[in-house]
Amino acid sequence: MDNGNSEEVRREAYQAAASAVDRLLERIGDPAPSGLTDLGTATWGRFRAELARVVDVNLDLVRNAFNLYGSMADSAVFPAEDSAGRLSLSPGLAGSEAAGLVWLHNFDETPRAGVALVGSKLSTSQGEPIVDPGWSFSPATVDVPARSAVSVLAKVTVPPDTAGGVYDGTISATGLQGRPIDVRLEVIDLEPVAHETW
Amino acid sequence: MTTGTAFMSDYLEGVRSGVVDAVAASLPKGGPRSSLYDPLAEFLKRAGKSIRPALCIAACRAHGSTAEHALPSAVALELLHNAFLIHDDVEDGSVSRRGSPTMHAEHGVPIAINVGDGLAVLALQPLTQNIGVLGSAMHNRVMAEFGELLRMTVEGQAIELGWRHENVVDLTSVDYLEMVALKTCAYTTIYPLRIGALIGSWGRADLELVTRFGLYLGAAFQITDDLLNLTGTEELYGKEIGGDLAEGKRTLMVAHLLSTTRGTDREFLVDFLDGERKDRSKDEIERVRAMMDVHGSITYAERYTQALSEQAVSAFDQAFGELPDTSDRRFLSEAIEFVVSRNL
Repeated sequence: MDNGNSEEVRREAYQAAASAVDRLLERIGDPAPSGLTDLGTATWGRFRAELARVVDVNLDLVRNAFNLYGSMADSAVFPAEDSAGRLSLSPGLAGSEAAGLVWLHNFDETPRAGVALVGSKLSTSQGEPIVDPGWSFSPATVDVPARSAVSVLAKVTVPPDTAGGVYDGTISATGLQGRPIDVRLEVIDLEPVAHETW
Repeated sequence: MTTGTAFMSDYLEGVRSGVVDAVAASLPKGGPRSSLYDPLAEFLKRAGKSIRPALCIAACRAHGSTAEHALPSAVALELLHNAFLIHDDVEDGSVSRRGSPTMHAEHGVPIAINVGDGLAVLALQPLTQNIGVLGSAMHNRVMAEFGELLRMTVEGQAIELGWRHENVVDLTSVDYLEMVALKTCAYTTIYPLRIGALIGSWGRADLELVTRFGLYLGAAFQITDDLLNLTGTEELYGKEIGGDLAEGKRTLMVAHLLSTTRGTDREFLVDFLDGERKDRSKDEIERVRAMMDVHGSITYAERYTQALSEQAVSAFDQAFGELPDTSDRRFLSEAIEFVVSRNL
């Protein structure tokens, strides 16, 4: 190290800093930027950056939407029943909606009009309830022709503070013979991404 | 247009209030209070400069994006910084921080270490929000940056602790700068700037140029901090003056003194640096401090800092020079003068 004039100290500092920078960059190994820097003005660059952000964020939305549609298509082809014949609602995330496809079978020779579904409260085997699961059905009422089956999308809103666990309940159909349909919702203890921040 | 100092103070205060609000909102409301969240919240309230979140947000906005996109990362940087400070103070045996007793001096070492851990854990929370703000692809890139930042910081700290533990005395200014690049620059300047620029430009910014600017700026910041530890006033600086000497830290001034002293002076210095804080008397500390004046170590470090700030100016022009002339770009530019001329 030098104790001489400021020029000598400056030279030493420059060399030491260059060496430290080189060592650091070697370690980081950044990929080259995406090559948009020579495409025009700063304003254009900023526009491209914002566009890329919007595309990326929405790509997640599109991906999630496709996953949801895929799940719904699966449900239509393979009714979401477990081995015990229960309807499984998914995805079971606290603070989000869970859904499953209910198949209504009319084994009679008489068509049934205006069939509506009613969901019960959901509870764990220890009796911990989701008192108001916010059941909704789409469509709200259906006509079921004779000797046929129709599907209804059943949805619950899992309250944000719901503890993880397995919750069971039933769905009953008014105006249609048969016992209530057993329903199971498995709540996974994960915090979902808040949609309003997207 | 406001003067440089007033502009910098206003900008930092603006960022600080936003970050403080976000940090306060992220703190758990429950317990345990007296052994965790109360001392943690009290520590966060102590006046810091918020330079790290400010650099992150400024680099993001300078590229045309909004503060909201960088805010979760800026909050995480501030929480991590405070976590590091608490653990550093334990490791160094420091007694005062930001004008008050250090966490371990007030609450004991076990609670201090756990509060530091708590702050580091809380820093993960805002980072999880990035996936909703930035999308999964950019979230992953930002997480990778944070991963590298954390690793560099602990490695840099390990190098310095190792020097003290093994009483390493043959250090060059290159050794010193490489240690500081990891220990200080990574989390103080380089990665706050990189993360901000990455988000603001959506991956377009040349991060190599940003890294160069960050290293020169951060090294100038650290040497200035070390100089203030010797020449500042405790009232403004907030830490004990001469504390680095008492702790046996290998600052640039100490490295310079080691390279310029000879004979019995050098033997005394090597012996002084060996051992622990409790072994160093006030008289010995004052003798080392006087030796620095005699051998020009303070002047050397001041000139060295000046050279680094010149390089920072040049690196700034390359990294940010072509961006529009906004207050954010001005903040980044004036940060160079700010860090080397500060008295606190």
